[in-house]
Amino acid sequence: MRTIRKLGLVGGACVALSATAPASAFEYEGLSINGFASIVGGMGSDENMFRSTSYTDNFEFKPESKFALQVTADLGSGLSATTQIMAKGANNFNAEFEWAYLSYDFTDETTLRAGRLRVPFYKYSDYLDVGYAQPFVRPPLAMYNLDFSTFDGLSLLHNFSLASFDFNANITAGNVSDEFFTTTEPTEGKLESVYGINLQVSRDWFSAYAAYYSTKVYIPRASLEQAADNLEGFGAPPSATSLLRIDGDTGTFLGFGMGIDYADIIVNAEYSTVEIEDTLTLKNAQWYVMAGYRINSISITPYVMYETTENDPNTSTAKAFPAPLQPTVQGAFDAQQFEFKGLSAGVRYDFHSNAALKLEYNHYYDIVDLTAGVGTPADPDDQSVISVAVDVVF
Amino acid sequence: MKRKSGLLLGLCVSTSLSLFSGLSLAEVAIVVHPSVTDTINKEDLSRVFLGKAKSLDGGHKVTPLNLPEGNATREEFNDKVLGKNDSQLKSYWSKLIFTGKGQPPKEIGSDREVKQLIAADSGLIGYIDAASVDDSVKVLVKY
Repeated sequence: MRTIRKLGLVGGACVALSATAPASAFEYEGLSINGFASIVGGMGSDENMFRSTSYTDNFEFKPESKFALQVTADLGSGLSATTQIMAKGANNFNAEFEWAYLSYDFTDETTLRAGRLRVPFYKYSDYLDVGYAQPFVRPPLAMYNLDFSTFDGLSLLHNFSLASFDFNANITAGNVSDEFFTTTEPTEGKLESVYGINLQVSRDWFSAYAAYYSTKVYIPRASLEQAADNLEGFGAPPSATSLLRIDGDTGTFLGFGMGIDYADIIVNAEYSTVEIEDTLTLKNAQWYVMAGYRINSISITPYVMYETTENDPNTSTAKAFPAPLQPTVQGAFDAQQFEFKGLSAGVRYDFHSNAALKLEYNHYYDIVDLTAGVGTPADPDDQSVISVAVDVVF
Repeated sequence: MKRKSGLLLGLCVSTSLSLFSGLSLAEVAIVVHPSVTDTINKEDLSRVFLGKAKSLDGGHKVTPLNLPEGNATREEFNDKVLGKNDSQLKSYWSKLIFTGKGQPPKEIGSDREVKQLIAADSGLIGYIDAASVDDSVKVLVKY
């Protein structure tokens, strides 16, 4: 069964490549069908790679390959229904509904969407899986580190123009039920009352955005719950262990980004911070900058990228515990440290109007990922990843 | 595993057909229904064809029509008015399509069909080879 699915994936991609498909591959009586696929092969330098990477030291196609179909039914008078079904290699190519929503255009400028949607954290969040629409094989790992991407709720889109700038606001409200800490300790959790706004502005070759989200986070990590119970057994008050448990704590996300696409020079930069107050997590901040140059005559775009993610240490929470337990609690916080930097180089080749081939090399250094056992503060590690991707849209 | 990857890439590369059909030097005419009195400047025209605006400069609502991919007039239009090549436009529309924020203009097979549709509907705007223009449509501007 899995083999059949995989063959389907490859076959589908090549069919899409060989056809000079129109922008929408199929359109009939208000029904539009679009799709995209990425076949990504990659390999890491070490058997045990730090947590953000999807690879080991074996060349693999499965972790990042994906295939998706989207159907939009235009029901008339501004009402439409959209579903996007995606089969990800990371999920054994089992098909899942990534998006499923109703959309209603109140006016040309204002649209309300309701259902399962994407949280637009970052520049590429909205089309995180559409490799074709991105310059690189994958968005920088340092930045795109939140391991959930869809929410159930409402999204209000509003467009307006001001002094030749196009503004696009996306106001969202909803909930997330998903598996969190997927790379370290997969745990079913939820984010309640996710509220936020993403405001984008663009003009000709310039674009920028700012995003802010706030939510209540519930993620009962087994190891953390066990540790908190043990601490209570040793005399810690529940009011103190609640400062470790992820039990309805306020999570906030703040992000900024800008992009330039001028005279075939492409520059992207983004910055974000993520914090879950009163939990055994560390506030982190990350940013990246990438630059590329489009050589139109041969349809090749080489690019380079620098990325970094850092934690703020937490030395205050341990003080809420009885003195004998403080070193243990401080040790637990120190063990959360997760930092790295990366330098990458790649090339995108638009060999077909519906398909791109990409090669990318990532050198990650100053890695401290104590959970994964890669690097320590005294002796940070470095690792690398090489990957090749074919991205198609149809 | 590595061999398979080579095979796949090889296959895909071999299917990449000639993208670079010769560019013609013909003029592109922006056409609407003869009854339309509004005008449009280049920047707003580009916004209409990128789904960012839905009306002409006087407020008359229009829905844009595209010619098929590979069509010489379309390439001319993309280059002169939108300032983007097919790959960039494909990326641009992918972002909107897969986030439910928009669909690219409908593709109409030929200049003749574009003229027929526009002659019958004052809410459409299209572009054709200036040599194809006749009385059935009104030329807003040529590039």
